[in-house]
Amino acid sequence: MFGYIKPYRPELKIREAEEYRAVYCGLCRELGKSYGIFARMTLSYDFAFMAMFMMSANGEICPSFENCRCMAHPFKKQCRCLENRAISLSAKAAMILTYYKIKDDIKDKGFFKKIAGALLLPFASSARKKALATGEEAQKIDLAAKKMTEEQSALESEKCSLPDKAAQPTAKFLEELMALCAKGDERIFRRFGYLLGRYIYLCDALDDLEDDRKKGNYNPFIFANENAKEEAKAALNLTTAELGDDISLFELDRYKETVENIVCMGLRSEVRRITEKGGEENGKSL
Amino acid sequence: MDNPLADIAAEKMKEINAAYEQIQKDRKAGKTSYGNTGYGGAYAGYNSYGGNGYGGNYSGNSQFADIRRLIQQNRIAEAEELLDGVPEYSRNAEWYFLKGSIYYRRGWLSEASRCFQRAYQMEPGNQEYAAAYQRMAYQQQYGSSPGRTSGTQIYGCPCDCCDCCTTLMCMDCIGDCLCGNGCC
Repeated sequence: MFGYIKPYRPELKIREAEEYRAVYCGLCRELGKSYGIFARMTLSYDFAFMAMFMMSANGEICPSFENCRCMAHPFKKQCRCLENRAISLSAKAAMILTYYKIKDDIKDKGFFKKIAGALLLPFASSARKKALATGEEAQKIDLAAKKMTEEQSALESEKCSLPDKAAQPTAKFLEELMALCAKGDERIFRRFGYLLGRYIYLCDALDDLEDDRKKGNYNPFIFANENAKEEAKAALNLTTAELGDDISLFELDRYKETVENIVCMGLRSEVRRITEKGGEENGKSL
Repeated sequence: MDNPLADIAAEKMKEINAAYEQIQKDRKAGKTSYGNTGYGGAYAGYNSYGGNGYGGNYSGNSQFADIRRLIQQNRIAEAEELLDGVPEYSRNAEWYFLKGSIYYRRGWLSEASRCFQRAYQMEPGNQEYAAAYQRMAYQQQYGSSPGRTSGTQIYGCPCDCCDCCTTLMCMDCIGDCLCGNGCC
């Protein structure tokens, strides 16, 4: 996805930052090991959060760690989270989503994106097949992702002017994804997923607003004209507020503080970064 | 405005209350000396979640009692169908409030807030509508719910906190460089 789910670093403890990095590294490693080097390029904060959240909220997934080197950090041993269900599920979701995104790019993006998409599609396609072969969970994700792309392009071609409605396909996809790791009452996971998907979609829409305006592309906020930014900010603020409420209903196990940091502060900090573009930067690479 | 997860929140609230009562009882009996901090925080959090029982405030004098019941039972599609069947001229403040509640449950937060605002404007004296509208107005402005403290200090206050944040971030960068983490 797009990397809008990050911790708010100033409030993160050093230990927590290390754990977060370890999960990030673990996901990178799993992508490389199971799906090839191309897959590593798709590594994103969003899926690192997904893995960490699953480990935290599910409670039955027990992570273990090792110290090792890798290509990105050849000189320093890094702590890395070993593969577990949360990490492999995130990796599967990332691969499936990448495949659909590339297919979408080929369909309705500009010339260069089409070329890039056509070149990458074989890799993405084989990665998706590998993921699908792992079983029922991946097939569920695939079905949800397919539905999302179809509904999204339908909404775009009808030029949907309701941001709430435009965000629905992405929201529903994340809802299904979160339902896969549900423990106890599924509804909390579903609503959390829905809101998180909505957040990602709206962030992306706001981030691309100026660009889309210039190029005449579809954007759900474009119909609000000069109020677009204010409206987008309000919609995002509502979403982060509801997410902050929802997270308090989970019985978070490990990484509680980090997950809460991301949900209660990281998301809002991202909203602020996007609305005040050119301002502070919280997106330092790990 | 009834949160779709209100029953779960209520359950948690019950647990907290039971624990609190137990502590109070123990304290009266002079068993142990607990610190006085902490309880308040937990309380505030859930209070705001249960929506202060907006749903419960309502006095029963409702034109759309059946629709309210459907919403409470989470039968959103049926409720919406009935609601949309109400002709335009008889759509009063309550109609907008219920429409907003449906949007809210579905996660269509912007539309929900618009409907609550409309309901509030049509009938400013109604506590139920006012509470729903004010809660979302607060959320819209601050990005968190009223009564929730986590992170509010950073963004919530209109004073010059930004400077403080930037400073912290700069310090963070410097720290990273010193530790040798900043290589990429």
